[in-house]
Amino acid sequence: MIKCLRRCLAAACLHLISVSGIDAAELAYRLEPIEISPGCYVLQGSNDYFTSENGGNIANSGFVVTDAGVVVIDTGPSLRYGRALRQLIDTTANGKPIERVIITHAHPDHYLGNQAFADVPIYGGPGTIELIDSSGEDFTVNMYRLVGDWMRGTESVAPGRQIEPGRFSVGNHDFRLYRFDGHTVEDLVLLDETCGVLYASDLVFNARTLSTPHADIGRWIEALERLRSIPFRLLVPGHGDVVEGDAAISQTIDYLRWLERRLQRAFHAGLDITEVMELPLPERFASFALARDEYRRSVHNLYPAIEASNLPVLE
Amino acid sequence: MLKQWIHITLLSLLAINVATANEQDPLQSVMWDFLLKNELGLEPGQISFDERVEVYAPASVEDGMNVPVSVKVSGLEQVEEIIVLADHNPIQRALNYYPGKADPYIAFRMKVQEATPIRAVVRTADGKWYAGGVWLNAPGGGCTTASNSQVSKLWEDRLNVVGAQVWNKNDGGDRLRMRVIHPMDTGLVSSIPAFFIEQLSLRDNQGNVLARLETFEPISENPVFTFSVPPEASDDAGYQLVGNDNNGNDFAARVNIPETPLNLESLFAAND
Repeated sequence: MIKCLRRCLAAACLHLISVSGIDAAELAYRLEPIEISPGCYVLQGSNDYFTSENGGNIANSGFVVTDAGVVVIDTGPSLRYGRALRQLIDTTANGKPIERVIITHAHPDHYLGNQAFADVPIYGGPGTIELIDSSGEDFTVNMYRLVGDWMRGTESVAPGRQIEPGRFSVGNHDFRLYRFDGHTVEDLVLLDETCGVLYASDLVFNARTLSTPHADIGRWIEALERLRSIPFRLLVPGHGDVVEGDAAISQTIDYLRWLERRLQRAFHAGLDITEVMELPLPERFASFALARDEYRRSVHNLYPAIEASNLPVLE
Repeated sequence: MLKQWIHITLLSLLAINVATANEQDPLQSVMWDFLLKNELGLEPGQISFDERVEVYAPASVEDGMNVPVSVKVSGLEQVEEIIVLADHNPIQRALNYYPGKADPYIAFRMKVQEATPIRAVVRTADGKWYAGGVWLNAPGGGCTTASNSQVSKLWEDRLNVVGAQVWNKNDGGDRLRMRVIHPMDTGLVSSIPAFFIEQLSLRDNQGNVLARLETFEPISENPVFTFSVPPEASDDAGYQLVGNDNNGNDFAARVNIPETPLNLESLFAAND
C-alpha cells in the first residue's frame, strides 16, 4: 500500500509538471552528426523501440555535404526531429543549400520530419509515395500514441517528387540510387560513390533485430544478395552501428533465413501463434537489441500467411 | 490541493481494500464492475481472480485487427464455460467456449479497438466463477476498420471454406488447428452490416459434439482457432467442424487424420 501511495504521489507530481509545461520544454533531440567519411554524415538513432523517452529517434538518417549543396537521406520520426536535423545541417554545411531530400521508404521513423523540408525538393519512389498516401495518417496516429508530445504538429507528408534509380551528381559528389524491395514495397539505397558510403536504409540492420511489418522475406533476401555486389567501403544500416564491408548484410540475411525456416517449422510442428511468439531464440540473435519484441512482432506479421497457405483446405 | 488529492486517494484505497485480495481486479480496469454486472450478471463477491486461468496475449501489438490470444485453464475441475472479454472494446465479448469433452484450452485471434485488458472468465460445474487476464497495448481502430474482405471482395466465392489439420499430442490426445474464410464484419463500420460466424462446433467423426463455440464480432477476419482434445475424447477416424454465421450460411467440414500422423512438437531447440 505504501508502494501504491508512492506511485500515486509520483503520478500527481508528473501531473503538476505537465500542467506547468516543464516537460514539453525539455523535449529536444540531441542529434550528433558523425562524419564517417569526408562530407558523409550519419545521425544514429537509439536501438530501442518507439518510446516517450526517445521521441521515436530509433533510425539512422544521414546527409552528404558537397561543394554545391547538401543531400539528405531520411528526415526522422517527427516535425521536431526534422527541424533539429535541418538546424544541424545548416551549421555543419555552413549554410550551403539543401539540394534534395531522399526518403528511402515509407516507415514513420524515416519520413515524418518531411514538414521541416517543405521548401526543398523531397524525392521518393512511387511505391513509397503510394504507401504514405494510403497509410501515412495511420502511421502518424500510431506514433502519437507511442511517443506522445514529441510528435506535436507532425503530419504525414509524402515526397512531392518521384525519383528513378540511376546515377546523379551534386557538386563534387557522384551518387547512384538503387531501388529494391522486401523490407517494404520499395526500399531505396543510396551509394555515395565519391565517399564509398552505402546508405542502405532498412534493408540492413546491424545487431538490432529486424522490423517486418511490411516485409516480404523472399524479396528481402534477394535484395540483400544484390546489395552485396555494389562496391562500397562503409555501410550505414537503417538501424544499428555503421560498419565496414558486408558483415551486416550477411547478418541480416542470416536472420531472415532463420526466421523463415523457424516459422515454417513451427507451423508444421502444430504450434499456435501464441506459442511461436515465446519460443527460445538462437544465441546469435538473442543478444541483438529488441530480440524478443521484434521477433514477436515478426511472428505476428508473418505467421498468419503461413497458416493460410498451409492448412489443408477441406470439403 | 495535492494534500486533498492524497486524501481522496487514501480513501479510495481503503474502500478497495474491503474486497478480499482475489476479488480485486488485478488489471485495475475502470470497466470491470460494469462488465461484471452487465455482461456476466454477477456481483463482485461471486468471482475470484485465479492464476489457474492463464490468458496469453503479447504485451503490445502493432496490428489491432489480429491480436493473438490463448486461454488455458489448468487445475480447475469441470470447466463448463470460458468467456473472453476485451474491456475497452465497443463490443466486449469475443467468444463463449463450452469445452465439453475437449480440454479447457482455446487459442484464436481477435480485434481490439485500443489498449485494453483481455480477460477470460471461467465457470465450473459447481457454479463458481474464476477470472484471469492481461493488459494489451494496441493502436486504435481494430473494430471500426473495414475488413480486408470488404476492400477486395475476393472472399465471396470462398465464404466459409475451412482449412484444418490435426496433430497428435504426446499424451495421446489431439490438437486441431483450423481457419475459416469469413469477413467477420463488426457492424461498426459505416454502411457495412454486422456479418460474422456465430456458432462453431468441434465433433468427433460420428458427429457427436465434443466442444461448442459461440463467436462474436470481435473475432478476427478469417478466424483461426486451436483446439485441444484429451486422449479419452480423441478420435482416430478424424473430426468434423460444423458452424454457421448470422446470415444463415452453414458450413461443415471433415478433418481427416493424415496418413503419416503429425506430432505436436512444443519443445523447440533455440538453434533450430
